[in-house]
Parts: sequence; C-alpha cells; structure tokens
Amino acid sequence: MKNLQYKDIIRRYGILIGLIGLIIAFSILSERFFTISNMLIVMRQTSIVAFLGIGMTFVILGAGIDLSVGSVLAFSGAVAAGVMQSRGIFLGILAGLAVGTALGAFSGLVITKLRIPAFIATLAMMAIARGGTLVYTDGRPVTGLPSSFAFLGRGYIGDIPFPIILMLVTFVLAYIILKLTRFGRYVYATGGNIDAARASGIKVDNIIISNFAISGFLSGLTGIVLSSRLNSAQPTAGMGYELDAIAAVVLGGTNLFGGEGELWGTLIGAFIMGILNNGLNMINVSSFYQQVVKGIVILIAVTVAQSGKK
Amino acid sequence: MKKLLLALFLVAFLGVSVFASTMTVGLSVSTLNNPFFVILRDGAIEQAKVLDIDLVVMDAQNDPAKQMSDIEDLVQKKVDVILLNPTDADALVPAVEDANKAGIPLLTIDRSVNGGDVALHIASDNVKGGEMAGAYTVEQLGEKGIVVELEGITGASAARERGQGFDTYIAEFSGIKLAAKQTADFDRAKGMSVMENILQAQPKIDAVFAQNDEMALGAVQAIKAAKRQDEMFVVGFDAVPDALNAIKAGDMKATIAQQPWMMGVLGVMNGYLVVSGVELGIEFIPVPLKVITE
Amino acid sequence: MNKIALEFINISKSFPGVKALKKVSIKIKQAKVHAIVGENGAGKSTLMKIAVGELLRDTGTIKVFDREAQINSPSDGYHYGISLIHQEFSLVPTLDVVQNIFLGREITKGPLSFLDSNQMYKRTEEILDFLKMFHLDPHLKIEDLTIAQKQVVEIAKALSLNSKIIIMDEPSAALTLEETHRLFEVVRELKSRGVTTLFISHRIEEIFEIADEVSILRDGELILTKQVAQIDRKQVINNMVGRSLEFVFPPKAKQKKEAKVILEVKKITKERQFSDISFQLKEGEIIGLAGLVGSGRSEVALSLFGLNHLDKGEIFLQGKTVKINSPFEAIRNGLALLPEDRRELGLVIVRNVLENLTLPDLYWDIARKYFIDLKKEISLAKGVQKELAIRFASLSQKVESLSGGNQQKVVVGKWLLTKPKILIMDEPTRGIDVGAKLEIYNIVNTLAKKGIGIIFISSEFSEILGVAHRILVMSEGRITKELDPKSTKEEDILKFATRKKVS
Repeated sequence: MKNLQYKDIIRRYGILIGLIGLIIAFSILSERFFTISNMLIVMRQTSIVAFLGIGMTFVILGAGIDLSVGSVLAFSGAVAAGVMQSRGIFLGILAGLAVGTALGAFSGLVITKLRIPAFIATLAMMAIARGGTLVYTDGRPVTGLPSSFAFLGRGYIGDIPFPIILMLVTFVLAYIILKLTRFGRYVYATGGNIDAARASGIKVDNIIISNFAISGFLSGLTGIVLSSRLNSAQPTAGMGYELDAIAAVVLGGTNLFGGEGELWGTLIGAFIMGILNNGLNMINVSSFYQQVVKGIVILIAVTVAQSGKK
Repeated sequence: MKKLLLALFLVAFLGVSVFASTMTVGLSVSTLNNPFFVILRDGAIEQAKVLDIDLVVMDAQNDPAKQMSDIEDLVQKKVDVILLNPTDADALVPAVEDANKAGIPLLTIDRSVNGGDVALHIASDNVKGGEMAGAYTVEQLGEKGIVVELEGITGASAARERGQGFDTYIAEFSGIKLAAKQTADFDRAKGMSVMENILQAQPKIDAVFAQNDEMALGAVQAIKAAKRQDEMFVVGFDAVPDALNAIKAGDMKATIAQQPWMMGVLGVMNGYLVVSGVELGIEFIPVPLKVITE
Repeated sequence: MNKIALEFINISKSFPGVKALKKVSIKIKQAKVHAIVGENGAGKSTLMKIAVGELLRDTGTIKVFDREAQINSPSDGYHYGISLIHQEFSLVPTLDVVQNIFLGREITKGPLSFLDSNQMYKRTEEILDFLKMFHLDPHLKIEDLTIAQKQVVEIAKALSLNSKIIIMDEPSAALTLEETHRLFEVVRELKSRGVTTLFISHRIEEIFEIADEVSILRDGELILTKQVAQIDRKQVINNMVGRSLEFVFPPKAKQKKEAKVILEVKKITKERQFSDISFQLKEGEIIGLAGLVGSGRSEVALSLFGLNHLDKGEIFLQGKTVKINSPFEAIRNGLALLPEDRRELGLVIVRNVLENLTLPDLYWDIARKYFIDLKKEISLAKGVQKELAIRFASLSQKVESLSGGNQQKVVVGKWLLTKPKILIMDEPTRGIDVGAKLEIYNIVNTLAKKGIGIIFISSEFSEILGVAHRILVMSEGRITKELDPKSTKEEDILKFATRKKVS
C-alpha cells in the first residue's frame, strides 16, 4: 500500500519534484542562480516556450501534433512588425494574432476535411509559413518598430517583467477553458477516443480545428512578444521551437497520444527547459555539452514519470 | 596601427605586473557550427590563458532569442566584460542595453549592433575584403572572363558588404561579366546545390567568388562532380582550415584571410584593458585582411 | 483405416473468471473434414488457437500423427504442419499477394541474400493454379481484394508452408453462397491430397454439405463427436443449445395497448451491409434483433444513429420523416446507442467516470453556455449512479479500472442522462458476468416501463427470447422472419438466422 502511494506521488508530482531538484542542484553549484533577479529572468525566458507549450497542450490532448508553431511564430511576428510600421501597434498586434490563428485553423481544416495526418499537415505548414515569412520580409529582419512596442517583451509592471504576467494570464485562461468549459471537456474526450466522442454527439472536427487555431493564436502571440523582445522581427525566428514546445508538453506528463494530461505540467515542463538553459550557463557548462545534458534530462524525466504509471 | 601596438604593450605590461586577479570575460558567439567562429573562440581562450583570466563562452546557435537569453545570463553572472559576436544587428540592441544598464562594458566582434553603448568594435573591413577578392579575380582572369558569385545570408552585413566590395570592383572592368549571383546562406551544402544549378545553367564559367569558404568548398564539390575544374577557379573568404587545405590541394585558388584568431585575441585583450580602466581612445579596431593563395 | 492426424487429450483452459475449455478430447482423422460447432463462447476458437500455439493450454496434451507435440508458442503450430486461418485475417494490407504468402520466410538468392522474386512468384503461381477456381493476380495488394480472395491468400499461405492440417475459423461468415461453394471445392481438393481440414461454423447446413465428422462443444465441454452420416440437423442444434436456462429472466415490462409508434423505418438499405429493412417500434416496446455476427444487425444500429450513411430508405420519428447524418442529430432526435464494442465507441477509457457519464449530455443540459455547471454535473452523475447501481470508488476513477459490467452501466448511464426516447442496445451483455447480465435485463425492463422504445441486438438467442416483446431475425443483411417469443424456441431463431439468401 505504501509502495502504491509512493508511485502515485511520483506519477502526479514527479515532474514538480524534478523541477525542485534542479533548482536545488543549481543553487548549490552557483550562488548567483537562486536570486530574485535571476529567477525573474528565467521566467521571462521561459515565457516563450510556455506560450507555445500551452497551445501545443491543446493540440496534443486532442491527439494531434503541431510542428508548425516555430514557423507560424515567425510569420505572425513579421506581419505584426510590418503592419505596425505603417498602421500602429494595435493593428500590428491584431494582424499578427489573426495571421497565427488563421494559419493554425487552416492546418486544422486540412487535417479534418482532407484527412491528412497532423504530422504531415503541420510539417507542410511549417515549410509554407517559413517560406511565407521569407517572402514577406525578403529575408531581412523587419526593424524600425515603434518604441512603445518594446513594453510587450521588455517592459515591467512593478518589478515583474511583462511577459511573465502575460504568461500567467494566458495560463489561467487556458486552464479555465480546459477545466471549466464544455469545449475543454470535449478536447480531452476527442483525444482520448475520437470515435466514442463522435458517437457521443461531439462535433470532433470542430474541436480539432479549434485546437490548432488556439495553437496558431498562441504562436502568433509568441511571435509578437519575441519581436518586441528582439526589437525586430527575424525571418529565422523560432526555428526548432516546435520541439521545445513538444518537449515541454511531454515533460509535463501529457500523453503524446492524447486524452490525458494537465496544463500545469506543461508550465513546469517549460520551466525545466528554461532552468536548464539558464542554470547550465550559470555553472559554465560548454554549450555543446548543454545540449547533451538537456537530452539526458528529458529521458530521465520521462522514464521516471512512466515508472510511476505502472 | 600604432594604437594597436600600444594596446599590446599595455596588455603585456599590465598582465604580468598589476593584476593577478580573477576577472571573468563573457563571450557570446553567434554560432559554433561554423569553423570561423570556432577559431575566433580558440583565439579568445588562448589569450585568456595568457592573461590568466576566466572566459565563459556561450553559443547562440544562430538564434537571436537564445543570444538575448545568453547575454541576460551573463549579466546575471556579473561577468566583468562581455564580448558579443551578434547574430543580428537589430535584435541584440536590447541585450546591449541590458548590459549597459548593469554597468558591464560590452565589445562587439566581427559584426556590429545598431544601438546601445558599445565600448569597442573589432572587425575586418568586409567591403575592403570584397574588393581584394575582386582585384585578385580580375588579375587572374587578365581582365576578361565570366564570373559567378555565391552570396551569404540575405541581409546579413557580412554578405552585403563583401558583395558590395566585390561587385563594385569588378564593375569597372568591361571584360568581366557577372553571369550569376545567387544566395547559398553561407552554408556548404547549399553552396554545393546552388553551384550545381548554376553549372547546369551556365555553359562557360571562368571564376567563382563565394562570400565565405563554406560555400566555396561546397561549390568545389559541385564543380568537381561536373568535371569542370579545369574550366574555372574558386575564390573564397575567411581562410578556414578546410579552405587552406583545398588551396594546397589545388581545388581552390585563393581565400581572403579574415584572421578570426586575431579577432578573438584582440577581443579578450581589449576587454581586459577596458575593465582595467584603460582609456582606449578608439571605437573600431580593423583586423587586417590578406589574400592567401597557397 | 485412417490415421489420426491431430488429437486433443484432456485440454483445459481458463481465462480470468471463465472456464473456457473443460477436459476436451477429440481425435481428428487424416484427410477428413472435421467440423467443430457450438454457440458463441462455447470454446471453439479457444481450442483452435491452442492447437496452433496462439494460446497456451492450462493442462492436457496435443498429439500430431500420434506423437506428442510441444506446441507452446505461436510459431510452433507451423513446425507441426498446422495452420489456422482466422476470422480476422493476419495479412498485411499494403503488401501484395506474393509478399504476404512469403512474409517472414522470403526466398533469397546469392551471397547477399537478395530477394528471389521470380522464385516466389513461381511458387505462388503454382499454389494459385491449384486453387484455380479463384482467379487472383499475385501482384494485387491485399487491401484491393474481396474477403473471399483474402481467404484464398490465407489458404495459399498455409499450402506454401506444406501444412498437413488446416483449421478454418468460420470461413463462410463473410462469403456469399457462391463463394462458399467454391471454397468447399478447394476443401474437397485438399482432402483428396491428404490434407486434414478442421472447420468451425455456425451454419448447420454447411456441416452436412462438407464435413465427414462433427464435434459439438457447449460451455467449454465436448458434448459429442460423430460421423455426419449418423446425425441429423435437429440433433446438432439440440446439442448446441441444449442446456436448460440457468437463470430466470425477469418478467417483461407490460406494453400499453394504446402505445404510439415512435420509430418507423421503411426499406432502409446500405449497400454490402443490409437491404430493405423495415420495422416499427412502439413506446415501451422491446424489439429483439437477432442475428449472427456479420448478419448486418450492428450496421443497422450504426445507421440509425447517424454513424453510417444510408443509401436508400426512410426513417420516421413520431410520424415525421427525419434525416440522421450524425450522432449529434440522432441525439437531438431522442436516439441513443449502446455500441457493440463499448471500448471503441462507448467509452473514453482513459478519462474518469464523471466525464464519461456526462459527455453526451454536456451540450444539452449541463453546459448550454460554454461553462460547465459542475454542481449540476455531479448531482446528475450521482443520480444515475444510484439509479443503475453502478459500482465505483469515486467519480474521478478512471473508467478503464472498472469491471466490464460496470463499464457497460456507465454507457447506459450516459445515455439515460440525455433522456432518450429510443435506445439501441448492441450486444449489451457481451463479455460481462451472469450477475451483471441480470442487472442489465432489469434495467432494460425498467426503461421500457418508462416508455422508452428499445432495440435489443444479440447473438445469444436465449436472452433475446427472455427479454424481447417481439423478435426480428436477420441474416445476410435482411430480415428473414418476425417471431413472437411466446411461441418460439432458440432453434427457430437459429434456423432463420442461418438461412442463406437463395438468389
């Protein structure tokens, strides 16, 4: 019985324990690590993966996968920056979010109506959106953004960087959608067993399209925040970020085949990635070894989480 | 040049006499996937050893967002000086401003940034380098021939400037015709595939100028595969070890030596001077270039 | 005097909670066709799987040509020359006929073991020549074949292994009459070459057409083995279903005289699945839809519920014609479906009891405006739990950890919350124990008393007799007979359920 409880704890909170373990380890190895200012910086750095990871959680809970988030992020950021130059910040942001949402919804439509696997459909979208970004920007960074736009990525409310606040607000909203609304329940049911969900009267196509639209919207938001942070929209922005987002979701314990998983897990997964990046820098691990360490940590975390499942 | 010598002297003097301290220099490199920057880093490491100071190297993997985070981490670590080899001129401005705010002096190497306070910029004059490549090519061709050019990442300052120097120079010779100019993103594999396409399209080529050695080496592969190596010669840029070997083997004709090792050495050295409170009195140290043909 | 090709001696096998086989001993003579018959769950398939090593026997001995055989793992059957042709084929759909026949034992040539396609093709042609009544291009992909052709490929595969004993598990279930006859010709040809065939079937006629001997299994026990010449149809059926009913069915809900017709279907047809199905359902009525696997009864259920589109025919609800193109519309029209496979279509097994119970009703009652009314949800779930006596530790328990009977009750419960007028139950008691079955029957009666019209689908004819007010028998996609349970015996249902379309 005791053994059972232990396993239950690992299954539920293993990832949180891992996060705390990492924090303790880095704190011992570097006195500069566990300071308020460094923690705020880690959270700000994490916000980028967290936005994408939250969107990815919807998609993966619905038994899908979205490989296009990095490219959609770049396209949305570029369009937002482009529109902003001539029509102001507000319309720029709106345009960026609209582009992200539309691209995501389009992937969803392709998946449900043309019956193309999500992996392929979003792989195609990854290429299309990246190409679109290069066409739109002519391969050059979009610069000369209004100075007040910097607030989004670099501003503070009190002592707290704005991206952190935006991340928490996004998390809470997403949490409410997943846990308290009918839609959220349908996401879990569709991912858990799409045939049973359909046979329960759920319009599963709409659920899948919405999931990809949400992922696209959050990719757009990420693109805008990143543009603000970098003072420019980079045509190569977000390359490989889809894998970070997927890693955060999986680290957070969400089942890659859908139907099971919690949003807070994703947030912690994103933090683990952020802490690793920052902490390994703090203790002077060479950048080449950093990637090896990250891979190993992902393996260990997922192995431990699984050991609690059986 | 005199100032440079003076600086060297000062370093030698200060290094052995005044400080035996533990100073930390942070070096943020745009990518370590390119031998050029690996050599730059190695120069920096070597010089840090000479001066007996700590050096922390971070690899941005060509992602401005990652480099931004790296700089933030360096600021958190409270390093004494930051050497920045930026991935993008605009994107890293906020990072430079962060360092400024924290009172940490910052030097840029090889590429510049478009804002913030930079204590010193250390780089080669890429326009000049492009001109040197152009002059060498024109001379070898006897002022007459068909030339193609492989460009670096569109919009990157190095690509723009090298291309500008080369193009302006050869434009003055009516016998030289620039038949094709295509981008291969500073990448060896792309250099090869782009060159393959050009070889298909151009029946006669006398010389190839690639804006870096990686692309030049890719082009050499394509030319050899097409068995047209006797028809044309290849000029690169950067003088990475592979390119020097290729020149020795006769596969490449020349490259423009950028001396990345020197950049790394100068970066650490001047960072050391800045932290030690020495007024440099200059904002830019040009690292000399030379044409290497053997 | 024929040699004994295969002998089962005292074979027993238990699954958790069920004794599937009890000391079964059968001798199967060489170069004969031996039929194994029995009702669903009698243990036929279990015995055959044990013969090839796909299942491991608990006790007992298998002898092949008088020598004790060590058949302990799935590949062992092949070593002794025994092949089992499944109801569900074990072919790879994306590979062609030749590739499937030689899958895992490809013929190679040369030092680098390159595939010898010519050789494999030649061997396949030889075998297919022997099966010449079925025209088949060896380069066709399996996914492009008809079911009969797939069966031929399975047989060809068995022949390519030089199998001496071929077991066919319900080979005719999905075949037309003509295809069945051609299959029998192949079986006779095999027999003339000394191959022994074990033949599992539901259809009594087929046994008399093809088999030399017959063994009857019931509830895991061997009832008898006889020469087909020494037994008649009636004896076979009596021995198959012969048990006395072990428990008494609860009294059926009384039907009101003035009950209105709530559902009427007129000549609904879905090509290759069912055709010209017409019937009426009154409020409070329980119709038993009887039929064997593959008779089209489940397909009718799926079509009524909008999961399967009709080609022809009309559906009337309360006298009004309706088109049902999705489960959503079916639910809106007061229909509910308890699917045949509850894990596939009925439940999201990785989610908890609460979420499963309220899934269809969220839209209609619990969350009309986006947000879920959690209090209402829990109270509705608890209400239905009490009503159906569903046993679970807490509402947040995962459904996959419940017993089969309780899982089935969760599916019933989730539909009760939508307050259906018509409930279609497809094999509601499959895979659950006797106690839970009884509870399901009680629930069926209670619902009927409330005025819900119920279509009760089953291949267990005793339960159809015990539950339904009226019985419709289906065979080969058609309703072959309407029966009154008061004056019907199981044998009658079986007779009409196995009736071949004569055309």
